[in-house]
Amino acid sequence: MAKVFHVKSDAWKAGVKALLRTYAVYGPIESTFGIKYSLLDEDNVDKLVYLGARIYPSIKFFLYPVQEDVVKEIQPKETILMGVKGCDLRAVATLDSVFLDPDFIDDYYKLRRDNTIIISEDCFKPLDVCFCSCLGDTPFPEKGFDLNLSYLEDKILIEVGTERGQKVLDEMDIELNEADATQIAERDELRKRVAETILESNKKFKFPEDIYNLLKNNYESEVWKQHAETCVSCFACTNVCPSCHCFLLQELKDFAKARVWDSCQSVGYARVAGGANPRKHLFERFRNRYYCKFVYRVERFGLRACVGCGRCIEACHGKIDMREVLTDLAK
Amino acid sequence: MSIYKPIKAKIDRVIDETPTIKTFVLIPEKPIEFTTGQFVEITVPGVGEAPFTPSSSPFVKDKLDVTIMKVGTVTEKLHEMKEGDVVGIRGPYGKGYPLDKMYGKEVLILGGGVGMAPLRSFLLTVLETPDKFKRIVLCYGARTPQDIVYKEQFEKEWMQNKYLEVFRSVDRKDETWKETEGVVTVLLDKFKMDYDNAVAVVCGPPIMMKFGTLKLLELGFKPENIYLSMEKNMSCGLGKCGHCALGRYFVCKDGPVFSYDMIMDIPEIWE
Ligand SMILES: Cc1cc2nc3c(=O)[nH]c(=O)nc-3n(C[C@H](O)[C@H](O)[C@H](O)COP(=O)(O)OP(=O)(O)OC[C@H]3O[C@@H](n4cnc5c(N)ncnc54)[C@H](O)[C@@H]3O)c2cc1C
Ligand code: SF4
Ligand code: SF4
Ligand code: FES
Repeated sequence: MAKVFHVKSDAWKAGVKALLRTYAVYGPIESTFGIKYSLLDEDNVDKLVYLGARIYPSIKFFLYPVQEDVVKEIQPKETILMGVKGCDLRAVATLDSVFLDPDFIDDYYKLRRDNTIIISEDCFKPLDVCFCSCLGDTPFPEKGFDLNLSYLEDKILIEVGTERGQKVLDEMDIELNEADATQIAERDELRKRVAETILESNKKFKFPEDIYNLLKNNYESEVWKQHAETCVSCFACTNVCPSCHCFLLQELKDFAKARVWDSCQSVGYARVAGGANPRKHLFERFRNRYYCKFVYRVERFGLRACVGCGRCIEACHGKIDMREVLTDLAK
Repeated sequence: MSIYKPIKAKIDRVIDETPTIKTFVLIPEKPIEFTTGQFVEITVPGVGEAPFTPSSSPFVKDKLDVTIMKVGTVTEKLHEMKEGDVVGIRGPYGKGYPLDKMYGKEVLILGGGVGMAPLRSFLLTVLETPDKFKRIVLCYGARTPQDIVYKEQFEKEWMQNKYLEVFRSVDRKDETWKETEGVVTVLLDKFKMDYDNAVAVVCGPPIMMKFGTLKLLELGFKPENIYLSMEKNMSCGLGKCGHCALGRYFVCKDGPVFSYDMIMDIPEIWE
């Protein structure tokens, strides 16, 4: 079994401070504008908070920047990302499947990935838009973290996921005690309650966990047209999504080249030179996002590319809620 | 080493094929070894990149031809380029034609317009070892006689080649044209093949791919014996950017050549 320790919150904070010397550490802090995900420094590290649910922006912004020169050499600083939730870790796995595909490894992604230490957390205060549990996922990280934190009443449990995580823990130089069975049981009970809360808050949405087959049988459904009606093609949904990976290579001067995020929601995305376009109509592009996430990427990489983080629901200018679309398809 | 970084290639020669199509003979810094049907990405610095299938024989190592139709931003800039100019090139990408599945069979090459580019590379490949195939038939269609590519090679080499049967058509003929008038599929009524066992290799504009395939099926070609070069929007060529997605496939990685049975259940194939 993986090692689990417990520490007091204050000791943990002091430990994080010690890490600032070596790493670029990002975490959620209290600011005048509410909670902000920021680079930590000596001044703001005291305002580090436990964020009950996932962060904004998604982890994608760190591993796969909006725009990146992909010809010149880069040397990213070793980075620690704190506050990452289970949903984002699952999204990272889907990005890995694309960018670390052994046939062609994207070295820019790989370099950032290798340089990033992930300190994840259990999600204890899910948002209204969260629906990971409805997809059969857990609201706590299962794998893919270096360290995982569970905030209990008066202490933090730390699960070590990798050797690198252990090394960071050692560098924090804090007093660690191994967690006992009662503490682990307390954590597990809390985790169970959170999953139940998510299912409860999504009660009014009724769709099966097996969305792959739901979609397979509904390609021609009118639901796509109905829900696409309020879409304004703003690409917010694909931008905020932690698992959307599409980009366009932009040619710069002197053979320089940038990899810039792109969106399948854009009308020119699939257009070819003669003018042929497999997704001319907005509803076809709208439908494509769902198929990509729940069908195509499952078939291509074996991973569902929606992790139920609800960011696209929050971001949508057309007030389109993925859960309502799925509910209508299941009717 | 960045997978996105092209190497440089010098334009050795530019051949005018038609008013809108040119063939560029390129000499890359380092030879690019490809199998027929694979493609490369060509970069015009500061302008853009676009995918093209080499139209030359893979047996020629130091040079590589690409035949390019002028249709938009990148291709227009390419058409303005001259001998001695430098472009970027990366690749080869994708899977080419599965030649081993064609040995011993009758082979039909069905091309339209600039779609003859990959097919020329394929043709030159099979003509290296014509004995390995039972029969080789080439059907090619263009809009007008002026739009025919590789005119000299057609008339001086291929139409004289004893291993090759050539049929050509144009949509609209003029006074010089002595061959067939009509869309390229009408050529398929001019001869018979052992349809059950024959393989077809098809490349052309989307509409021609669609009706060509339907016609071949009607004649009795098996879906698994019809090889299509799918033209989809591409950016990376590496299975990363998403643009070329066709259902579960990335055309750039799993294609661009697909046998029809692989893709026939996917709704978006002909657009
Ligand atoms: C595998 C493959 C092989 C090809 N081989 C040849 C060939 O041998 N000869 C030839 O003349 N043409 C070929 N094409 C088509 C050629 O790539 C397009 O004509 C070219 O991309 C058009 O670029 P443009 O900037 O001039 O056109 P624009 O319409 O200005 O294109 C703008 C952008 O749209 C995208 N785009 C538009 N059309 C296409 C397209 N058809 N395919 C991919 N991306 C597109 C590109 O990202 C491009 O930068 C091939 C296409 C593919 C996919
Ligand atoms: S599709 Fe929406 S809910 Fe699913 S992972 Fe992306 S942003 Fe989150
Ligand atoms: S966020 Fe909403 S409005 Fe914007 S492109 Fe996505 S579905 Fe359409
Ligand atoms: S062209 Fe980028 S994934 Fe195929």
